[in-house]
Amino acid sequence: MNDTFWQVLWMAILGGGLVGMAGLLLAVGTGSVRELRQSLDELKSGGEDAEDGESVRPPSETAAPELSPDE
Amino acid sequence: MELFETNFTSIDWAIVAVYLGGSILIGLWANRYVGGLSDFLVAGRTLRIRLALATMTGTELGLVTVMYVAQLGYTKQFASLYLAVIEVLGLAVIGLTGLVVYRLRQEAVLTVPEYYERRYTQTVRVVGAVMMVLAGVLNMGVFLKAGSLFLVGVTGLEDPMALKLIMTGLLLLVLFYTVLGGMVSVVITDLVQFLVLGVGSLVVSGFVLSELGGIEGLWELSGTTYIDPLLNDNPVTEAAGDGVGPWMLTAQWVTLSIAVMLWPATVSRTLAVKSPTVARRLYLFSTIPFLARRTLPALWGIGAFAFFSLHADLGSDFQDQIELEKLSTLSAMPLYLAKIIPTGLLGIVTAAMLAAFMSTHDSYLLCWSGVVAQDIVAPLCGGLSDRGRVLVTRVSIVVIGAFLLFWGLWYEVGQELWDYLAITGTVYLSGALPVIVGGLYWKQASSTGALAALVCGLIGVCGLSQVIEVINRYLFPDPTGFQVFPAMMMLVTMITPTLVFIPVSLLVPDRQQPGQEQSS
Repeated sequence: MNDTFWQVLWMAILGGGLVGMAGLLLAVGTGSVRELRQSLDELKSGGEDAEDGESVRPPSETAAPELSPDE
Repeated sequence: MELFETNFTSIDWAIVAVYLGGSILIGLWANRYVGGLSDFLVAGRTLRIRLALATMTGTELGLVTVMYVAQLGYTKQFASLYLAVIEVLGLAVIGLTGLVVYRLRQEAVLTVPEYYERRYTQTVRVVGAVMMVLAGVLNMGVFLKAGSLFLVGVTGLEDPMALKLIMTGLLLLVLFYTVLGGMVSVVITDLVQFLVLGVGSLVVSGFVLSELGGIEGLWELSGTTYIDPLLNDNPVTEAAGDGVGPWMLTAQWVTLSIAVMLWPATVSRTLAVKSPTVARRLYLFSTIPFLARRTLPALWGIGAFAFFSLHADLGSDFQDQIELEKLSTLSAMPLYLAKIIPTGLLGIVTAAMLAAFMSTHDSYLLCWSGVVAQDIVAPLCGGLSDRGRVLVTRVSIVVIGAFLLFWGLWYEVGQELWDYLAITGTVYLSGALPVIVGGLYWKQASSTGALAALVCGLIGVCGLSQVIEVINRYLFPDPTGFQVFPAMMMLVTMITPTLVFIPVSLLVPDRQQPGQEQSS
């Protein structure tokens, strides 16, 4: 393949990494501190509820075996 | 300029000490939030997307990652970035489709082997757990060494005893807060480490970029170095087989695609999120930090390559040390950073890298120890109370830590660090791939097939350079004829368990199909 293709690709990848990390810090940094506080509050009150109303199976070894894997 | 000359002074040591002290306080504080087993292992499954993303970045952007990616940047320059493309594509596919991770999170298990028991049998669970811990601990065994090499390069400390003591101290610190606070303290420290590491890595990248002459300088450099990973030979070193090439590219593509989906430390974070949808989203958003972890340290390695090429006297000193086996190419990046980052800032950067070191160690220690307690000791003892499991997990953390210290200080990595990690990872991944994917998506997958595949994963150790050397010496002694090489072994060992799993499952099906058991 053409050398210019590789040069452009690697420059774009490096740029993506730099911009991505900066963006991640801005986007996730503050929000994650707030979410940590919420998680710690929940841990204190002992809750383990699922979000979005989605059901998850009980985390127990004695739980029923898996239903059809293709369900 | 001397090879070990550094800008690291007592101010930098003080910065590092303050940061480490803070980590101890977090461990003590987090202990009060740990109520039961679920709190200890998966933080009560309370993680939301931002927090999960921050802690996953903290875990996956470890110092060992920084070291091996920088090493690849130094030895293979721009061509090393092919790993970033593979990893990001793999994550994007999982994030968009929810492949494996969505169903796995739906199972609401605490560990991967727990799923093995649900889908197959308890024996599969115990065998799978043993294989997982074996591969994981072996894989983790070189983390300490990578960390110590970083500290040598940055601080200029050449006394081997001082280094051993520092690394032992760091390991003890991680053991302390992980044993005390489990996943809760891991999450809190990972968040702090993510913030410190994120800022630190951007600062370092800024210095490296400026040293290289900005984007223009980087572009010019790319025109004179190794950029095409399809070439077997690196045109810069002119040594045969020093490049990537199609074999290694394929082997890494297969290994890395499976690793992003099934690597236990990553999966344990998936299992700790609030819901299957969050698990899927976590993968999609993880493309950004994973891109960063594969590119920023590579940039530093490329910077080190340019620096040692420009300062020919230092470059030749460094090469001499490598030939005398006193140093390896792993040290190129830290030696380079020690010279370009100013005092004070170097302390912050080192604290950031130690943060990276600790955030990976804590998550990995907790992951493997959790598996020992949940999936090996508890099933073999006929069940354990929650309190008993937390105790076994804590004891396992200490035992694994002791092994890491022993292994890390004496084992010599005979190949590039990333190749070692990929090969040891294959021991687990090759067996886990058919067992998990087959279990989730294929009705005919049987327990006997699963056991055969898991045990077959052991042949993954054949990829280690020492084993390849023995194979070639006894089976293929003619160096001009056919010889086994790492990429080929990686591929063969990765595919073999799947090739065993399918026919064995068809030939020896389970007496009771999953689902029938449920309805009876």
